[in-house]
Amino acid sequence: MAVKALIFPTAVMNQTAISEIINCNKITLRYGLALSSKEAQELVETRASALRSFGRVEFGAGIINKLILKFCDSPFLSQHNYAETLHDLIETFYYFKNETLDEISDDELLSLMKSYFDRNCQGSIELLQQRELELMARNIRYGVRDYADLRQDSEESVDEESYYD
Amino acid sequence: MTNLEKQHLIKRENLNQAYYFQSVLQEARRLNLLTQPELEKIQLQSMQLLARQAERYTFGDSSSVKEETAQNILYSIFYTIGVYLKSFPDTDMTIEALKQKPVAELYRQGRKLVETQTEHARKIYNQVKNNTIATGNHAYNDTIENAIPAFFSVYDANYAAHDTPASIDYPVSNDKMELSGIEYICNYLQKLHMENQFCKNFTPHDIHCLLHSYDTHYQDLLINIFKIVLTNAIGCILAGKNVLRLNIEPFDREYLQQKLAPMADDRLYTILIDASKQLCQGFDITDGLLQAHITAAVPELVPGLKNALANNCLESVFVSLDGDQPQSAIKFADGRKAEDELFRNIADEIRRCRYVSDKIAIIRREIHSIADLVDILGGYCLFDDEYSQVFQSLGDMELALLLKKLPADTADTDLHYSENEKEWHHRLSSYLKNMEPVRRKRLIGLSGRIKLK
Repeated sequence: MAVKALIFPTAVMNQTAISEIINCNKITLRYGLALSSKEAQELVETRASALRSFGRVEFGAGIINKLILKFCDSPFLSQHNYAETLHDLIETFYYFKNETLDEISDDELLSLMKSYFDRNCQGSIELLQQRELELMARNIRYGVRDYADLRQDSEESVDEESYYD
Repeated sequence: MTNLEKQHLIKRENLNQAYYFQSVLQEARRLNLLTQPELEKIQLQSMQLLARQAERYTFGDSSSVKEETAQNILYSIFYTIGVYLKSFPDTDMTIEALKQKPVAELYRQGRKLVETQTEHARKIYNQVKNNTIATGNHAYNDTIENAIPAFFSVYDANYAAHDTPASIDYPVSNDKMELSGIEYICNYLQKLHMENQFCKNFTPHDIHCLLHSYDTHYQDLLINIFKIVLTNAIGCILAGKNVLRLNIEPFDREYLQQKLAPMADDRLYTILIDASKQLCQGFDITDGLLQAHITAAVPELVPGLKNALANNCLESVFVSLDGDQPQSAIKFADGRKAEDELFRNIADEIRRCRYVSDKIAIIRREIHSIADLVDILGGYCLFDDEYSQVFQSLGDMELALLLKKLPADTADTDLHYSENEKEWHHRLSSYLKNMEPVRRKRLIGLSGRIKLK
């Protein structure tokens, strides 16, 4: 009997997740950010499809509300790109959970994502996904001790092409 | 009407032993012993338990896990609950427990049982270790010395209770392969212990002779020692011989052929069962489990015996002990290997020689260990007929030692040996073939007796 063969009460779980997301509005409104019920519903759907496509299973409300609370004070978020960025961040998060081989915790990954997003990437999701996190994940896979330090001149950073030379 | 037995709706034999919990649920639902809401409640609680276990697994650091990880943890939970459910005397009580107790409680009880079984398995393992058969069979020795301790050190009762992380090569009789995890190991060790106990009725030398007669390379085979011993012991009883020697002579086989060939399957089975009972009485085996294990091994013998009787080749079932089987082993400690540099010089010198007589002289003068001799033989120092001349110059002991170095199984030599090594193996084999039969037999016997230190 596979995990999916169990009847997951997804409807109940989704409802909990949506109400937790809406609850975050109380805090995010201070930064001029809010999500409608429809947007919250869409975020939950994005989470479900990301989990499915990256072969992961999540229990409880998941990380959406943690992600919202982490990113809400970013200077690069405004109401017009808020929901869209959250969709991208959710997908990015689960993708890099796999890419980092589950070696780092949810909180640490979120903190690193936030830090790179605000500083190195200046709010660019593309740079975050394809440059910073990619490099960080590679550092973890190659056992670099200071994996979060992404400076190219860092002594321990790994050049994948020359790694096997 | 004296033996009235309560009938249970779910037959235990219909349940899958490996996926016991799942198959109980399936059967219970099919027979309407569990209602749909009750089943859904169990599923929901299982999922909650899975969530909790997954959280423990990640130390609360991650809200999500990979699907395979979740699946493993879930199998582990189901397995653990299955262990608890199997502890009930009947399936009605199992269903009652499913209805009454929450899944977390079933799991907790199962976890305790897994712990108890692990402790029990450790105890049996210690008994097995102190009661081993002195044999050269590698699979037997390796399983006891390495595979089982490795299992205990890596078995994860929390998140992979259903897994059997051990490479157990030695097959026991009636192995319950459908079991897994600690249940399998417990069952395996119990059987191994009983088989050891049975084999202790015979001397290690007799067992060695029997196995050696069964196959000269029995050390490398995946055979069940107990089954071979039991077969010959039963054969001895049927032939009216002394069981302790385990020997069945050709004329005993003729007698057995005449006696057993006309029998139908069921008659043959009864005769074998009677012989096994007689064997138990003879050895004063009172342990019910061991008696049952011996009886359970008998049906496995019937098809092979029937086939052998039909083809008049009983020697494949009842083995005759080799008459010239050595009584004692010769322990051989090899001489000191030459230093690399010195060895290279000797090899170069041999290669430079024009005449084989010079090569033989150098070998006799400079080579003082069998390992060096083997290296010379496989080191492009000798060519064509030179091999047979070198072999001629060697004594029986040297040849017997070289014989020991020949690969046991020629099928996979291509993978492990260089062309030149294969060359000398081939040359030595043909040299032996052309040898006088009496000397060849003596050499093979000698080689079998040698034990390399």
